[in-house]
Amino acid sequence: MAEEKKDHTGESAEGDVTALGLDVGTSRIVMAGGASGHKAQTQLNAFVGVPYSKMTEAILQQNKMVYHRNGKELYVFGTDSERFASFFNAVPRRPMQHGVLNPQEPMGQQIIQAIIESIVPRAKKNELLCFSVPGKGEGADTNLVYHEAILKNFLQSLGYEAKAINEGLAVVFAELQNENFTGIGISCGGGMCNVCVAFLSVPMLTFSIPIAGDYIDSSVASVVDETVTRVRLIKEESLDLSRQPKDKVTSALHIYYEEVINSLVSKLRDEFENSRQLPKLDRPMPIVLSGGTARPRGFLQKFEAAVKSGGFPFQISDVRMASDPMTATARGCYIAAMSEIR
Amino acid sequence: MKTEIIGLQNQRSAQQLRDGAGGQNASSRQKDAEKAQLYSKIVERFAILFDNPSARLRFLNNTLAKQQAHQNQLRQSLQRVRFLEKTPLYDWLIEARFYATVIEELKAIAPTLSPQNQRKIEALQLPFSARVFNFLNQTRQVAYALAILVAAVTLFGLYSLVSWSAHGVNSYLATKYKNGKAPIIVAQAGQTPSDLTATTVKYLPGFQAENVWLVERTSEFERFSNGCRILTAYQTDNHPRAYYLIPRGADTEGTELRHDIVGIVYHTSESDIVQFTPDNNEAIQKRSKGLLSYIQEIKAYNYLIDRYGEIYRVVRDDHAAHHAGHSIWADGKYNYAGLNESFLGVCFESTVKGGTLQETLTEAQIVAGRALTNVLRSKYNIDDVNCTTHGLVSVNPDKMLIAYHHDWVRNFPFEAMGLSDKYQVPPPNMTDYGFTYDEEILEKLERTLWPGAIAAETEFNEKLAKSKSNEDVFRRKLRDRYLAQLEKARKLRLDANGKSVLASQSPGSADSAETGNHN
Repeated sequence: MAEEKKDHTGESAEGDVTALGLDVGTSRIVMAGGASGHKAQTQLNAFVGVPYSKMTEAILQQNKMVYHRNGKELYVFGTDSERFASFFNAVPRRPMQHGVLNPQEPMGQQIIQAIIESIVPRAKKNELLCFSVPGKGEGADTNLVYHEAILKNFLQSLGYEAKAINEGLAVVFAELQNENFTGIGISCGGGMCNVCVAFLSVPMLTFSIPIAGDYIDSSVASVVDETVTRVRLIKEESLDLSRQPKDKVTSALHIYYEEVINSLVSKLRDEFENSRQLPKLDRPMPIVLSGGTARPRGFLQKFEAAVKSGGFPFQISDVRMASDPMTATARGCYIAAMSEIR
Repeated sequence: MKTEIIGLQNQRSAQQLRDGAGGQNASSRQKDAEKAQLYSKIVERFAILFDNPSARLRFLNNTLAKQQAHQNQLRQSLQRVRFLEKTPLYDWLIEARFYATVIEELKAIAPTLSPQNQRKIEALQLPFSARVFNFLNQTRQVAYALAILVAAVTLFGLYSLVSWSAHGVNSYLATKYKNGKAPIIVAQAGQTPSDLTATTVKYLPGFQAENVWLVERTSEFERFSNGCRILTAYQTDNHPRAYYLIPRGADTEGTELRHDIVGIVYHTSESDIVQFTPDNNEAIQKRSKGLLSYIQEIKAYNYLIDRYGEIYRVVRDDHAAHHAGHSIWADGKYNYAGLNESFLGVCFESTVKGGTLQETLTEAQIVAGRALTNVLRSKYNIDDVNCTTHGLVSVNPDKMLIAYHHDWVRNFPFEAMGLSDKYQVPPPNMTDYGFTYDEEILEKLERTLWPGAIAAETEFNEKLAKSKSNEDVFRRKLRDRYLAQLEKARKLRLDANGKSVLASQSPGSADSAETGNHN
């Protein structure tokens, strides 16, 4: 395996890794470390497979791409896979689906391990690493245990003491420090949206919904007859949900974004109403949004409007976007890991 | 070092945070929920001191998890006394314990804080109860050690207390509260305490001895004009009498050397006796002979009067017998310290009735005693004032106590002997030498003191007041004078004989030969 490590994060002044946070998302894997957790490294959680040939391998080496050779196949993974896919006009494959390991992808485990290895250094002294896992929800319940165990075993094989942490809770840790980790953390990723209601850092309510970025992309692609890759590019580069859609792709994106937002808010409302787990709160709670799907301009306003429109079982102080939505989960994992080190 | 925050989160479940531990009724859950909210508010107040998110997270998790654990632990401990949970003490304990946890966590995490926030922590105003609890919690090891020490001392104390006899306790109390005077019963027949002052006399009326002369002397006996017959078969030598006259009230060991007899001390043999009946004649005589042989061997007395009234001379008159040991008496002019040298010892074969101080004399002994007293008084011109009993003269110089031996400490038939009642005389060992009594002696004397002893206390206190010195110091000074007088007498005997007769008179050894009731 050829790999490239541009940065060593989560290191102490002496260069030793003390703790790491790892967001294992459906579309991205983000590692946070360093003194404050703000040193982050990201890889796309995707790969492209091509038949092996000396020429292809030479091209990959020439372009300094990370790849994995498995017999007669070459797998380009991580961020390079996107470039490689557009270069060869191929569709990247995903090792994960709906927040957990993709059971229909035979190379999934190997690729995800390769991606993690490309950004996570080997542990020296059984350092602590907290990694994110999705909350229970439709479609994620049965595979969740398997997913968590596979990742944990692999990270332990790298020498870490690995601990799983709910993705939504990680967002709370990363963004709600001033509220003493009391509030609602929402991570809108590729495979699913994860929600955690926490009170003084204790998760009182966690759940996930299996519709998120990938659902939007595939739904839009199917209704406007476009490739998923192109839809994603439009979504990530130019979508502004605060403005009127200008074409059928953005129009479809608006529609499916609204569906995702409404489903999320509706589910949150239902969970609140049905839950007996919540303590009586004598103050309004904040909601913090994170994840790639929440990045488009106007998402925050749409979400806020959805919250306000139907009323809520408790008072919301404000709805805000994470300081860095793409790394919030990883940073939260890092904070959790650091908090366990005296 | 890694803590177990994620693990603790599992312990501190959402359910627990919501309503405390399970298995409680609604009101209890409501109370717990309110408490949990209160603790949350408190912990949040402190959490804001932590700028670092991981430090803040650690503080929150640790504090609340520990508090929950403490609460559960306390609840479990009080399982059988659940009603205590409804008391303010329980709330106080939980709250103080909570603050102690907060302090503990603040201290643990404080080093990671900025100096500014460290100063803020130092300036925090925590409730007094919390600081006390925290202090106790931190010093609990010392407290445990102290508790063990206290328990050990208590056990030892209890053991000592049990070991300490009732006599010891009474003695201690009597000494401690001496100024208050422990109650003393004076059991002179027909007397009440109010009579004492009236009957106590310093100088007695003259009881003159009859004029008695020797009628006949054989190898076996001497017979006197009053019918008194003294058997001499057991007569033996000891050492010649020698003593210094000590003028009464003078601070001296005495200068005038004397060898004459000045008085009589009456004793009881406290030997084994049988019932005085005709059937026991043989046994009575056998015991008398045995006693005679014994006192002859140890040269204990000058005279023994057996139960049939036979008078035996044992140690010849001009020699000292070992009858009085540490003893003090006085007449109008002189003090006598160590009466062996200056007083004759007359012993009645008798013993006390079990558990009492009631000596039993036969009629024959009383008659013989009176006759012998008259013979001796007449022969040696002995003043009535110097005829006394062992119980009245015996002292314990180590403890400064009177009545070390208590034969005839009461009930001696002075009148029957033709003598005045010496129980009315303030004993010189108390008045002149500061000896006293304690609770133990009172108990031994069945809490009965003779009137003279009570009068002597008053007399001594007057002397003490005049001396203007501390009581203990004053008593020690008087005792030292007594010991110095004894020492001078001891040297005198060494000089006179050229060999040591210390064994017969030195403190301790003298008592070993001395007979009579004692401790």
